[in-house]
Amino acid sequence: MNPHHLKLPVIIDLQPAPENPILRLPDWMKYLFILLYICTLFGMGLLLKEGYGFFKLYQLKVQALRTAEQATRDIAALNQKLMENRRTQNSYEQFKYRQRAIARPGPLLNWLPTLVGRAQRAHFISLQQANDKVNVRVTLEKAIADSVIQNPAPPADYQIVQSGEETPKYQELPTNQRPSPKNEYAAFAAQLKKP
Amino acid sequence: MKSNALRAQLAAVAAIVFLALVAVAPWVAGSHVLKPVSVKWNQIIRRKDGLLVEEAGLEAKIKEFQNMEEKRKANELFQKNIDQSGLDSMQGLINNGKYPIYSFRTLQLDSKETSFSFVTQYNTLGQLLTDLWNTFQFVELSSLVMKPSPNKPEEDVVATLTVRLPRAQNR
Repeated sequence: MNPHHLKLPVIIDLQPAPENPILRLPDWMKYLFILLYICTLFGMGLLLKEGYGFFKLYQLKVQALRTAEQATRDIAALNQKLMENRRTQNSYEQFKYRQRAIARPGPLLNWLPTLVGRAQRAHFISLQQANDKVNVRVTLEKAIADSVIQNPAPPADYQIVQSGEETPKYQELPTNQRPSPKNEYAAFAAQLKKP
Repeated sequence: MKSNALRAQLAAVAAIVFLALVAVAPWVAGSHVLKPVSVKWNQIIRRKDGLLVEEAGLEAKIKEFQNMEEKRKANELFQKNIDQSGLDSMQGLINNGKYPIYSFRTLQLDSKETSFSFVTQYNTLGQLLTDLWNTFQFVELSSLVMKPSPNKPEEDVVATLTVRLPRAQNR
């Protein structure tokens, strides 16, 4: 038998099409369906567009999560380094301040000989430091007519608060030693201050 | 017949409602599903941006600190100098035989001040004090008293040096 002569089975509706339509929709419903169809198409298009944007956003979010994790770790390390740097800087400044605050005796020791005149002789030299003030006392043996130095120039980094001649204290005088008849003992006292 | 018409009407209404739902579904999905998630993800991205700004700020702050390695080494040296500026070290430097001194005595005045007394020549005293202050940078001179030695008043001087040790200053 030629296959082209085969017939398809006939489907017989058990319920035949009604002769009169059961439901006749109003004509304007046609426009409603068209509107809904257009709306659906636009909606699908919009959803497609939103979906693409959503996918791009997802990629950005995944990248952001990774970057944020790395940045958090970096920030923790940088914070630690910053704290360490601050600590080092503070310690360094404290050390430098302390080093500067401690008065070096060099300028004062170099200054002391300028207080003693050529014809004078120093017996007792005392130098006392407290905070930023320095008290200097020099007991001199000098000629009676001579006087201790007046208004001496201050040493480097110091200024003279007051200075002048004073009577020497007993313990500042040389033991068992008297000055020559033309000489006497005198003390020069000065108070210096760091500006 | 009436029942068929009613069913047909119900089916039509259901179809219209279904089509309407299908039509608004994309907008609903966009506004109620995608939008909240997008807001959340945008927050994550903004947080990342904030973290990057914070990181850049920290890097800029760190760059403000200059020569930190040198300062760290200097701090170590300073601390080492303070640690080594003890009574024994100072006695060792003064009385190590390098400087011709005699009658050396150490007197602990109180917990803060220590006094050294010795007899030496003027020039030696100057050299010793210079070396002392170069070696112990954090030792503070409290007082220095010099008077001629009773034995050799022309040559020697009795020096009494009172210092504050750096460890004692910290207390």
